[in-house]
Amino acid sequence: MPGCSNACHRLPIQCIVPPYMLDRLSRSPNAKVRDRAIAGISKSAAVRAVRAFARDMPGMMAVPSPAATKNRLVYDAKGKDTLPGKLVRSEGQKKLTDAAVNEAYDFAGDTYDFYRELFDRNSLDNSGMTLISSVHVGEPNASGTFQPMDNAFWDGAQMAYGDGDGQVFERFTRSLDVVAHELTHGVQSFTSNLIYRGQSGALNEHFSDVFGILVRQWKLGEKAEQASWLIGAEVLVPAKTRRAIRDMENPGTAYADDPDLGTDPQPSHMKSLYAGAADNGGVHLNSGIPNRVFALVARELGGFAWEIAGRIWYDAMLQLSSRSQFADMAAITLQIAADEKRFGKESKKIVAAAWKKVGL
Amino acid sequence: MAEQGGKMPSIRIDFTQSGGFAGLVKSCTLDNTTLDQADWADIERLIDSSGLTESLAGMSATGRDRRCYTLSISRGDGVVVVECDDDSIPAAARPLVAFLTARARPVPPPATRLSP
Repeated sequence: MPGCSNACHRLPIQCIVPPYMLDRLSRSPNAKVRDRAIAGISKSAAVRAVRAFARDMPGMMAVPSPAATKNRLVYDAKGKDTLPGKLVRSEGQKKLTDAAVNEAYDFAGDTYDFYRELFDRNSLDNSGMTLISSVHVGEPNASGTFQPMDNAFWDGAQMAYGDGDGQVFERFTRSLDVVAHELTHGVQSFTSNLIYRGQSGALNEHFSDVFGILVRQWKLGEKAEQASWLIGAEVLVPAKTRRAIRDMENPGTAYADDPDLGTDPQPSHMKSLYAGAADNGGVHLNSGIPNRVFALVARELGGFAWEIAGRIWYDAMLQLSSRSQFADMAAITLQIAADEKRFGKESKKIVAAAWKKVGL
Repeated sequence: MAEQGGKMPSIRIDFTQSGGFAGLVKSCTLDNTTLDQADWADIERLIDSSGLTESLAGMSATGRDRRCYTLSISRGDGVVVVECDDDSIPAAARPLVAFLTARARPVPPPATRLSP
C-alpha cells in the first residue's frame, strides 16, 4: 500500500501468539524454541503497540491524498485475505469491466461528496484522507483453500468487501448504503470514536446505518416518507423470507424464518434491549433502537432526511464521547435539536417524542 | 485418530458466531452423538492444527463489522475456551472456525451476560 507501513494490514494482528504462551515458551530448555519465543515477544509487543496506536491516534494510520482532496484507490484482493491486494483503479482512471471495482470506486465517491457538500467534511479525517477499498476479498474454508468472503468490514485504515457465497449473500459492494456504512466507521474513528462494545458500540453501528441510508437517499433524491429505510437490500440473494439485512423503520422485520438468516433479532424498544455477550454485546442488534428513533424523527419532520435530522445526528456524532450510552445520545440530540434558528420550533418536540417511543 | 473398533474419544465443541456486517448469530454443538466418523477425523485434525491449546480472549480494537467467535472445546484432557474475532483469531485456527461456521445454524442471540 503506498505510503503505508505494515501497520495498516490485518495480518500482523491475526498472527500473534498469546503473551502467556510466549512467556512460557521463552523459558523452554530447547534453545531453538526459546529463541523463537523471545523473537515473538518482541513482535507481539510491537503489534500490541500498533493496535493501541491505531485505536488512540487513527490519524497516524491515515494515508493522505496528494492534493488533500477526493482520492480513491481500489485494490483487488484476488480472492485472498491479504490486504490491500493489487491496485486496479486510482482516482480519475476509467471504469473497468469489473463491477465490484467500479461500485467500490463510485460509491466511495458518492460518500465523499455527501460529507463534503453537506457537512464541509474533507474525507474521513477531514484532512483529505485517501479512501482505500479492497474488493474480491476471500477467506479460507475448512480445507484451507479460499472462498469468497460473506462480509464487508472496516479494518481501521481501509474498507474490505467480499463477493458473498451466491446463495445468501451477493457481493457487498452492490449496496451504496453498505459502502457508506463502512466509510462512516472511518469518519467515527476520527470523531466520537465510540467504543465498539455494548451500547456505545450499538451507537457506532447506528451512526454507520444512519449515514449509510442518508447517502443513499441523497444520491437518489428520496424524501423520508418515500424511502424504504432498508439497509443492504441489494446484498441479499432475493427470497420470500428476506427483504434486507436491517430495517431502520421497523427493526426486527428485515427477515423472518429464513433457513440461513433465521429471524431478524433487532429490538425496537428498550424493554427488549439485548444484554448478552454475543456480537460485542449486541452492537448490530441494539442499534435497531436508535435506528428506529432516527427514522421516526426523519419521517415526522418530512422532506429530505439529511436537511434537519441528518444535521442533528451529524453534530451528535461529533459531540459524543467514546463511552456514550443511549441516554447520552438522547440527551445530546435533544440539546442540539433545541436550536430553533437552525432546526425550527418543532424539531426538539419531535426528537423527544421519538426517544420516548422506544422507552428513553 | 479413531480408536480401534471405531470408538471415538469424548469430544464436544460449542460454537457461536455473531457480528459481521449482517449481525447474524449462528451456533452449533458437535459431540460424539452428532459427529460421524469422517467428521470426527476432520475435527480432531483441525483442533490439533489450530494451536488452540489454552483459553484465550481478545477482540480487535480498530476493526468494525468483523465476525465474533466463541468456541468451547472439551476433550478428555480439559476445556479450552476461545473468544476472538476475524482480526484476533490465530491464523492456524481459521480452518477450524470455517468448519464450524459451515455447520452453524441461525439461533436467537444467547443470553450469556457481557462481562464488565
